[in-house]
Amino acid sequence: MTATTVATRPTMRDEKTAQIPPWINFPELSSSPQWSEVFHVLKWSPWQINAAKKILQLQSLPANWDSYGSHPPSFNVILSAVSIILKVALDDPPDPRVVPVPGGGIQFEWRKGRRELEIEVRPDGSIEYLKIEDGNPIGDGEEMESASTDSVESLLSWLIAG
Amino acid sequence: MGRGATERDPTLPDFINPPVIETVLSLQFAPLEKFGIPHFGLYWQKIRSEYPRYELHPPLIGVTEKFDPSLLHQKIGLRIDLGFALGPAVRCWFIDESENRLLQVQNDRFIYNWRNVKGDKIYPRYESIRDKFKEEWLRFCAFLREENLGAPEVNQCEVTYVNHIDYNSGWEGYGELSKVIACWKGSYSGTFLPPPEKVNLNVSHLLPGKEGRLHISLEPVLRSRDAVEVLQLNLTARGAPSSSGVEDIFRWLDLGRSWVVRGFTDFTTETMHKLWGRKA
Repeated sequence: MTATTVATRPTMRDEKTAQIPPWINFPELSSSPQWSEVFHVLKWSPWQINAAKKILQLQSLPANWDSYGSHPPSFNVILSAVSIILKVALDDPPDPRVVPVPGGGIQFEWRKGRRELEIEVRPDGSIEYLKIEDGNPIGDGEEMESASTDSVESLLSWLIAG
Repeated sequence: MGRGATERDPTLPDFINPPVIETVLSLQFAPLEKFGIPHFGLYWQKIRSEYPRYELHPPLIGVTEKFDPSLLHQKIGLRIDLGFALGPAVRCWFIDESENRLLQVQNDRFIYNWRNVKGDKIYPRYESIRDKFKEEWLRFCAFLREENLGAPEVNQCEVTYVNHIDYNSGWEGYGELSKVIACWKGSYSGTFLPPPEKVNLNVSHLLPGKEGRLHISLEPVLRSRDAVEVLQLNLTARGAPSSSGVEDIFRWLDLGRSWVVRGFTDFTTETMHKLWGRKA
C-alpha cells in the first residue's frame, strides 16, 4: 500500500509540546477553501517579509542537507518561526540571520554591538533562546513557555539596548 | 475533446497564459445529520486509488449570499453561519498523487480544487475541471445513497479563481497599479501623498436577478512554495442554484464561471491582457 499522510500545511494533528497549533495565527491557511498556501502580508513590515522569505526558503533544503540525515523544517515549524517574527512590533529591529538546525528546526540569530540573541524553534514546536554578551552565553539557554509578544519583544529590547 | 465533454463558451474572453494558479468549485448544502467520522473513511475507500493522501483540517464555516434590503447598510450581504456545527467538526482533504487535485469534504461542503503546485503546469481549463468535478459530485452522491445518508440539499454554489500577478511583469510597484487594475486611477486630487506602499481592495457585484454575487479581492501575499511576494487577485462567484438537481447546480456554476472570467477581464487592463495573451 502506497498511501501516506504527509502534512504540507496546517493540520489538526496534535503536537506533543505545541499547545496551540501554529496555524492558528494564520486564518488564511485554515479558514478558506483556497489550497495554495499564501500569507497575507498587507500589514507586515518590510523586515518581517524579508525574514519570512528566508524562513520559507528553508523548505527547499534537500533531504540530508547536513549530511547527518536531517530533513527540511516541517510546515508547522515554518509557521512557528513566522509567528515569532510577527510578534515583534518594533519598527526596525536588526535583520536576523535565519539558519536551519539539524533535525528539522530553525534558528534566528541577531547581533547588535556586544550582544547576540538566538531563538530556536525545535522540530517538536518548542522554542528556546540564548542570550550572549561579549561572546559569553548568559545561562544555558532558556525554554520559552510560548512565543508570546512580550517574551520575544523583551528579548529583542535587551539586544537593542546593548 | 471526448464525447460528452463540456465545450468552451466561445463568447468568453480567452487567454493563452492566464495568471490563474488555482480554481475552486464548491457546493454548500444543508448539514448531513447522519454523516459521521467513519463515513470519511468509507468515502475514502471509494476514491483512494485516485486520492491516496489525506489531511484533516478545521471545517469551513457556512457562507450564504443574502439579498434582504435590510442588510444593504452592511458592507456586503453575506451571512456567516456561526451556529454549533452539526456532526463532525472536521474537513477532510483527499489529495491526488500529483498534488494538483484536491477534494475537500465536510458534512455540509464538497469542494474540488485544481492548483498549479509548482508553477509549471498549464491551466487545464474550466471545462475539464468542471467535468471532473461533476464526476466526483455524482460519485459522492452515490456514496451518500449507498450509506443511506440522504441527498444533499445544495444551498450555495461557488466558483473561485485565484490569480497571482507577479511584480515587475508589466508594472513596478503599487504606484503603477493603474497598469494592472482598470478601475484604479492611480493619482490623487492633490500632490501630498506619495504612491501607496501596498494596496488591498475588496469589491462585490450583484448578479442580475439576485442570482448571486461576484466578490473580487486584491491583496499582497507571500507565496509559500517559492517565498515570492505577489499580488493575489481572487474572484469568487457565489449564489443559490434553483434546485439541488445536477443540471441546476452546473448551470449555476457555469454562470458563476462566466462572471468570474468576464469580471476578471473587465477588472484588469488591456495592457495586462496583452501580456497574458488574450485571444478573444
